[in-house]
Amino acid sequence: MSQTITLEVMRYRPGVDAKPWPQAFQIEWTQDMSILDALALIKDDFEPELAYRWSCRMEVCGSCGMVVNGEPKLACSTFVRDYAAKGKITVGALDQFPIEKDLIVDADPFIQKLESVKPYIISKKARPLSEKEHKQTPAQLAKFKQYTMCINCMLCYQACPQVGINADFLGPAATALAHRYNLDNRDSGKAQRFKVMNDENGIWPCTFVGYCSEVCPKHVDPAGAIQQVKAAAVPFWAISQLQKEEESK
Amino acid sequence: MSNKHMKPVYWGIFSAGGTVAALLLAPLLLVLCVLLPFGILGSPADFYESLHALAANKLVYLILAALIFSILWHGVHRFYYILHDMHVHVGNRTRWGFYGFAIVVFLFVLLIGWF
Amino acid sequence: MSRKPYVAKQSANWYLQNRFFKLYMLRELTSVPVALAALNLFWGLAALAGSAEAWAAWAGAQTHPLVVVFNLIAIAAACFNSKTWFEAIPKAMPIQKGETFVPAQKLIRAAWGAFAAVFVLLVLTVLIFA
Repeated sequence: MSQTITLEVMRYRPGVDAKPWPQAFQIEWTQDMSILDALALIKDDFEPELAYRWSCRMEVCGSCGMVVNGEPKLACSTFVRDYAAKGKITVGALDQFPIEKDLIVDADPFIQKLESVKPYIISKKARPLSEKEHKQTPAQLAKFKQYTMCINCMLCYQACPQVGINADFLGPAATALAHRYNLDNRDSGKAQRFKVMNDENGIWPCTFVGYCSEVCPKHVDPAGAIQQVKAAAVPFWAISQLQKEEESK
Repeated sequence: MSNKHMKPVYWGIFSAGGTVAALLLAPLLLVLCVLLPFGILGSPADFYESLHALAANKLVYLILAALIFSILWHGVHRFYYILHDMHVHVGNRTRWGFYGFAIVVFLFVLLIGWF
Repeated sequence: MSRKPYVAKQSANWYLQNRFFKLYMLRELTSVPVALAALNLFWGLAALAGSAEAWAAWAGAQTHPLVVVFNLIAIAAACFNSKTWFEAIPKAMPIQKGETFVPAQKLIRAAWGAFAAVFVLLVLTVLIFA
């Protein structure tokens, strides 16, 4: 016996639509069907023009971030069966980013924020592995491991109301990434990262709403990372007040 | 990109005030503002007799007033951000209106307590 | 095909859209009674350091029904602030022990313990001195 459900997708075709509009589909669904599977079915059987991103189908690539009934979710790990009682699922793009087409958004603002925090080991004195390895104990790894789990899915940026108010806010994932490197015993780049984070639009727009951590599929807890960074940022900020402003960027 | 702003200071005092409020405010309000005035744990007049001299000590008074100041700063800082969150157009002038209010009240209370 | 990205505007009542945001706003709104309670405490402190009449006036004012209602609201607001603040402690101040971290519940319970200790100390102070 087949069950049907209404799946409404927010469509947007640049140059055709003035703004996103809902297109409803009645689809048959099964117990194992994810939202991603449902979108594939719609694209195969009903609307070949439907555009959306996906890849791994298993919550590691971060491609399929969408808003499902108002909540930021990964389409591959969100299941139709959980909305059966509601009877209707509305899927939209991560609209706190510019929407390019249908469920595809412009991720450039996000990528630039990630790059701005210098997300790589910065050594005081770089040396080749043959000279001496960088040692790290399990305890030193444990210190930052949680913050390595980010899959760059951008759900936290969709969740964050401060991003909605100020698109220049550095945001949860970028800060968690910076924190990951600041906590790594192999790294010496704290000062450079804090220069970026102590910008007015760095970490300071955060009011600890905490919804970012709530929606994170990898339990990175970016909200916690930002609060830790705020406390650590104060001495770097104090020093920067005594320094001249660079004519940079 | 500019680090020339005072947000870490505003946040730092807010944080201190929030911690003070979280640990002290509810018990203080219940014991001193509700129970004591109604005479439930003792008489307010005797409380004054015993503790007036200590409270009037300049250093003790300063510390107590500073604690309350941090709670007031916490409150106005958060309120500023409520306005910001609700899309009310507030900028540095409003912000300093709020902080200035807290500072003025603190100084006023200091003055009347000390002199 | 040329690009024409659509930039959505945040709705003016975003904080009413889900339970999480509503609780966030409630938490933020505690700042109003908290700030007013601080003003009341400032008055009380000045009165305690001032004359016996000033103190009697402050203590008397606390028994006025409207002030009692306000103080009770402020206590509730302060308690809600305590609850959310303590829940934030394990996130803002994680304590590492070897390869693991002190469980969040332990830190939160310790904070409430400190809260209870403050309450007991205050009650004792009043019992002794009043």
